[in-house]
Amino acid sequence: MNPDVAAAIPKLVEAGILRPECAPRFAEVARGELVSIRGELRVLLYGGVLALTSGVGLLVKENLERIGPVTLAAAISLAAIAAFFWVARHAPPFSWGEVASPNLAFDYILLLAVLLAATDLAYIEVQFTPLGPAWSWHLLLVALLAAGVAFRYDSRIVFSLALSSFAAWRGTSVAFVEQSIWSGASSAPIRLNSLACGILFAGLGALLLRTQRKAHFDAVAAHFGWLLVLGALLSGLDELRPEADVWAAAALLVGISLAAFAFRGRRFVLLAMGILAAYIGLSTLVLRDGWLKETAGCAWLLVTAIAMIGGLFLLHRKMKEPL
Amino acid sequence: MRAAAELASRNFEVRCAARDWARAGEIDDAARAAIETAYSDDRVRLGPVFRFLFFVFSLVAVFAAFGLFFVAGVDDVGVLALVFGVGLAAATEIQIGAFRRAQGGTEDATSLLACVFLIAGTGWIFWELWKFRDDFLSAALYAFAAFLFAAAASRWGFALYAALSAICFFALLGYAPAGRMFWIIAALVLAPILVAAGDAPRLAPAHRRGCQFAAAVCFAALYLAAQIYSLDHGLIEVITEFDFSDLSPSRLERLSSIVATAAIPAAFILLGIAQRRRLLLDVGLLAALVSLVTLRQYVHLAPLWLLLTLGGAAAIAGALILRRYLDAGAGKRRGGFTAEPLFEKSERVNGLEIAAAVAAFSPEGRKLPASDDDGFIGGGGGYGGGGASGSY
Repeated sequence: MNPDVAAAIPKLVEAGILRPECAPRFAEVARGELVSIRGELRVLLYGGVLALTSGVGLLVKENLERIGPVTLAAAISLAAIAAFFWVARHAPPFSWGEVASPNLAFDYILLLAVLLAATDLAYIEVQFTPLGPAWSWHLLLVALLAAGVAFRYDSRIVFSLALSSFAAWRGTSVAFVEQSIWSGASSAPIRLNSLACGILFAGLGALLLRTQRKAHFDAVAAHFGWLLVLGALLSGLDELRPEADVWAAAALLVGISLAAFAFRGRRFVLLAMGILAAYIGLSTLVLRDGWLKETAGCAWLLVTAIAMIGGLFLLHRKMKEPL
Repeated sequence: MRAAAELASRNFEVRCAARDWARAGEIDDAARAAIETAYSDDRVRLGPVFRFLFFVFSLVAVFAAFGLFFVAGVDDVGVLALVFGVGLAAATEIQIGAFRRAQGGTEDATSLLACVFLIAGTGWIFWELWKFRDDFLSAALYAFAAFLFAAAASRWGFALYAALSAICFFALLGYAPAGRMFWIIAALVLAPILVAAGDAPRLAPAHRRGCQFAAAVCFAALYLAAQIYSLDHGLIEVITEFDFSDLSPSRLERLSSIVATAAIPAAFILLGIAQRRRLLLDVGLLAALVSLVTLRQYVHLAPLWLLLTLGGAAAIAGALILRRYLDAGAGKRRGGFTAEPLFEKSERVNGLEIAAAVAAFSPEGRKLPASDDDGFIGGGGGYGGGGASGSY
């Protein structure tokens, strides 16, 4: 309910700014006489998918011996096929552009179908080991399946799962990004794979944008990609010097480049990521171990933070972000 | 709240509505421009990304300045905190007043840190100068914090501080004898007042939002006070480090609590439907979920995997059935509720949902061979929903 909007509507109609036929609908929303529970329904759907897939995962884990692998795999397959069947029935025709969702539940049932299929593939691989020593390639299969489904049914959420599955195939997971940010836990192969995945994803996003094929997927690919790249670079700050200095310098350079690129393209989230990465890299280069406990360290942070605020003021004049 | 800031915030509400109408194609750009001219906004407002960046660097600057004094050898940290608190409060006043900032990030940071430093400084006064100790110290601090956050919410219009004030108020009540009962009484008295205030036209939009936030805290406090798990484990008494083992609830208390655990979420939901209040609906749904989890704690109905699977399926089915029910009504609405988006483009999932899905459903990375190892180190891949390890 919004009393200010409710009070403004008749004045706007009287001033000829609003068409009289619009006023009743606007007013009933402003007075709280019509309430949309779309958000609540989305939360229910998301929570339902989360609970259901968690339940299936636990079912597999706790009933391996009792149910039998073939029965279990078949049951999960059937559930996934049923979900895909529902999706196929309700899906609009394919288009390289953005396609409106046919109904509220579509994205979530599609997500459920993909997760069930992925769970089934993982279970079959573990139980029957069709791929042998190359077991991890099932993650690539999942990534390709999810990507295909995402493109066909225009689902950014499934596309994000395709990217994360590909990254998992390369040894990188969201957990790694969290760890590298909060605790610095990392290893060189994972760091390099994260860098490679990040560059690949960012490049994929740019390609989609350039070719205007599912161009709206670009934001997912770009944000995920740069998050992996910057996470990989910043994870190197935990190494011993001088290696840490190399990673800090890389974070500074990449951060500045990303910020400049984002400024030109008016991409605000990437701008923030670039600025923060560059600041962390520069501060790490300048501040030696223990400097944070000393006057010079605090002075550096104070001066640079104030300088950053000044810089942001100037930047904002040239790059107005929508509210 | 300053009169100019209040007027600007009211105009901003109308401008936001016009933005939504234009986005939904209900009005054209000319109409939107005319509305923005008629309801001008003199505040300096920033988008979410710039606001976040300004907030972060403001925090860094203030903490660095505090650290500078600290490492320079200022011993009286409490006095320093008070000085900073007062200074930051003044800085917030200047930003909101003379510089007309709103949603600017910097005044968010200075206002938050003003409250934090003032609470810390006051805590120092209580401890060092007035020799408050133990429960009395904690209670006094909660009382001060409740008052300070309420003043901040009222003066500067940050709705979050209203919620923090309510939280501190209930924490303070926890120190009273029979604190649990005081929680219930306070929540029952305050919640209706705050809900009504959340719709009051004479209050500024920020104050209305603050009342709604505080009302949500009251609802949560009511549920927490009456809930059976909270009663059995003394979750409120733990605030005062009370030895709960000396005070086992009676049979009547437990029975009342069991009934309340089921009844309160239902009451919230029914009231939300009757009054068309999303706040009550949302709190009711959350409380219902907690009650169901609590039920599982006490009564082993079925294996967890079965409950999760059936529960998930029920949630999905329930959402679909409810959507169909609403869509079948005249104008795709029933009883003032609709499943249609109001003044939004027919949207797909938004960025937040994508991030949540990636966080919950992303598979674990396969273990790569370490650079100094000879052979491939295999390991489990995994899949599954959040919480399930997915490794077999």
